[in-house]
Amino acid sequence: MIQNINYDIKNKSVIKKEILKEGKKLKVVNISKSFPGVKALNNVSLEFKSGEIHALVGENGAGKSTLVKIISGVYIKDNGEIYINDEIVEITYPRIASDLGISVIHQEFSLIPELNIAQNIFLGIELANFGGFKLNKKEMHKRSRDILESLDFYVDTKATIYHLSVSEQQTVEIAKALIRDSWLFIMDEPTSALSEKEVKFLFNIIKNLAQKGATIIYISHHLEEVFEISDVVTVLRDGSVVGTNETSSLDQHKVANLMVGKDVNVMFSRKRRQKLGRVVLEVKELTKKGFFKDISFNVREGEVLGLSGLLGSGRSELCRGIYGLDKVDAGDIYLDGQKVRFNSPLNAMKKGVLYSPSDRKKEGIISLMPCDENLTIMSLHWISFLGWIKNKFQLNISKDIIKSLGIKASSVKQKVLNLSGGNQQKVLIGKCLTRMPKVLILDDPTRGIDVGAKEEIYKIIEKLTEEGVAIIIISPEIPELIGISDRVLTFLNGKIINEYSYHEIDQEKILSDILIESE
Amino acid sequence: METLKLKIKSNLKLLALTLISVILITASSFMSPFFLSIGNIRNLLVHASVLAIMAIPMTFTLISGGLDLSIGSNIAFAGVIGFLVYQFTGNPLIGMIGCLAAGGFIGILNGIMIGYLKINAFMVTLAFLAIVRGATLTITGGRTISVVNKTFNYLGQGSIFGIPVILILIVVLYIIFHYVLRHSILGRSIYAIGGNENAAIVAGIKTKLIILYTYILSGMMAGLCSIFVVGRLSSAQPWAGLGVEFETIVAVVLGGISIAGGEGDLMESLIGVIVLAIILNILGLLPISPFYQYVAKGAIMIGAVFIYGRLKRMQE
Repeated sequence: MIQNINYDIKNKSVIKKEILKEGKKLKVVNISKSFPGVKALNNVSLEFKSGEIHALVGENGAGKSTLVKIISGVYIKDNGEIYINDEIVEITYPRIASDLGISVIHQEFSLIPELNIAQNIFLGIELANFGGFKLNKKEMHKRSRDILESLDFYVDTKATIYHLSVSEQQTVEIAKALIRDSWLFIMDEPTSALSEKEVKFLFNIIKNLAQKGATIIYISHHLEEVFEISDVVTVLRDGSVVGTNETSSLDQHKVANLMVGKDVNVMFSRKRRQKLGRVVLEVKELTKKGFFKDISFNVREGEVLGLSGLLGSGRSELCRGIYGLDKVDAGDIYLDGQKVRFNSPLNAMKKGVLYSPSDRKKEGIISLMPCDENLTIMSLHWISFLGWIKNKFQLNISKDIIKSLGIKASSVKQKVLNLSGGNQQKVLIGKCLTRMPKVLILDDPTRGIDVGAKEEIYKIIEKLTEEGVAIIIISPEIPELIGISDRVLTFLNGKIINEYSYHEIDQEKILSDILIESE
Repeated sequence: METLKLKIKSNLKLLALTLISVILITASSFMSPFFLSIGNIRNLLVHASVLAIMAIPMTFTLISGGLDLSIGSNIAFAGVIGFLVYQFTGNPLIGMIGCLAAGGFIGILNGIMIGYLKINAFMVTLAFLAIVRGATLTITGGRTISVVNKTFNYLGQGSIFGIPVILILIVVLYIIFHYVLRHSILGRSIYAIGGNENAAIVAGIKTKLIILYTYILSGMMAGLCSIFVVGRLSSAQPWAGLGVEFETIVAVVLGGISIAGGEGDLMESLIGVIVLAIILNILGLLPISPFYQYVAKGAIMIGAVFIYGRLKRMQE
């Protein structure tokens, strides 16, 4: 990769004033947006001022993404108004947003890898003579060079995007926005793929843009970054604004607090057993390069071990590694004291370790198949004789599971596609149960299902623990984990940060573990 | 009661197509005096037999989410190799095994590339369509090889109590493979792989191996078909099987098999084969250019996909 950016920050204000036209302010008033079953935004009113770096923070599902999608024209609001400089605007299409001067710098860039830098910057707004027939390449390259130089990026604009590093591509994205007279820059998790130096380079650009009057909305999970770059922080929770404060008046822990909510309403509190059984699964120093490092823990019969962390913290990869779906580089796994190595899911299943994946549409259910066939897909040899499936066995096992889990289906033959999300999730768990698991790993078992269905899943977990099954549960919702687990492990960047036993569990501590990088 | 209702629904398609076949046969017998003649019925049966044999593995590969475009070339290849084995050993039975083995060999190559190396099935089998045909032409120098051995040609020419042997074999094969697809662990796994390969992997199914099996089946059935074709023509022809893969796909699609995979029934394919064979046969008898058959095949395929797609959307 060609490294063209000089990362030694000279700290000079490099943006030529002409490149950024006059700054404006954006105001949203009483914005609401609902999706089937979920109210994503609830009467959100915010103001984004010119020259200000305004951070938006909140847990997954808090509404940050929905809000910016409405501002950038990807979604249409259900109600409320949007004002630019106190003039009302209707943003119904992404093109309208970009014409109004609103740009989004995504995590996945909207650049075309096979084209060069100038072509990408002028994509859709190419300069041409003779009524559009002859492209004025010379001028496009010159202007591209100028814009990029103002961002401290010196590069041959004939280079193709494919050869640029992530940070360089991001700079081109910003240049793209600038050339379209953008004054509002929405940055959505811009640092996820950047190195420390590259982050500093990006921050310098952002600060300079703001100095010249640009309005910046900065979304990030990394609280320490938010504190470094932003002037104002707004915390969103469950679709509503919790508070907007000047960054200087807050600290990371206060923000974490606001994100979760001081009143920890534990929806479901599981009856915990006094005595837990013996250790069923133990892992020692499990490592997979780039995903998780030196993971050690154990789980007992009848115990629920909760794994907390952000997306990408390594929990799912770890569990898939234990289950034999993905390779593990180093470490040992002990089942009932015996050392085991699972090379494939079949091996793990045979020994009683089962896994229910987080994305049920992608890896969980076979949509076209009826319920009974989905339920028995993991235990085909148990419902067959000499390789031939016996319908009677299949029917019996399916009926049992449907009854004990309370799966609402019109018949055993109903296609799983037509079940509700909660019932589909029960089918996933039911599949695993046909194998009488010793250890059941549930990856996000309540994703995308309503509160009532969640309660039913919790009750199922409770019943399983009474039968001595050891359960490992991954969930993005901390109150859920606290309500259901005996112990909680917090993960960040592939490492275990802390372990909390039942009486030690503290929502704020957990949240700061998974969000804040310790020195 | 529920299951009975569902059974009737799924058989509605079969019922409809059977009705269509009956109508076609009656209409055809009026359209041409030759339709019901012995000679024509023999032609019809030969054509239908080739399609019927190849429809079995084509259904399997389609349901698993793939497809095999190399079967046509494989038929010629297997026939030639089988003959060479017979010539080398002097034993016609070993020669016939040679046909199956040669077909199966191509199937193994397909299966490894598609199942293990994860190369796109369309690409692999399309490439082999060319490679295998080229190999066959090279080996034979483009010439037809005469085969007169009675044992070798039995499948193609023999009959028991007036019924062609091939017909009996096809009935037996369909019964066996229908049962395998619907009621065996292997069959269930194939539906799972076609329905959602990732979910099948998570469920512990040996997806790569099973995909390999489907292509080996495809290859070996091409081998079986080559024995029939050689016997029929009393010769191993390097251009045998030309266009068979296309016709087979049209037939199974007509019967209602989905190209996307994950669902379908062997009986649907069979009915599709019968209907297509009748249509093509009557078109051949009518005083119109033989090239209309070509157009018909394509039109039938588009028509079937369109109608089935509509029906599915109406159901939802």
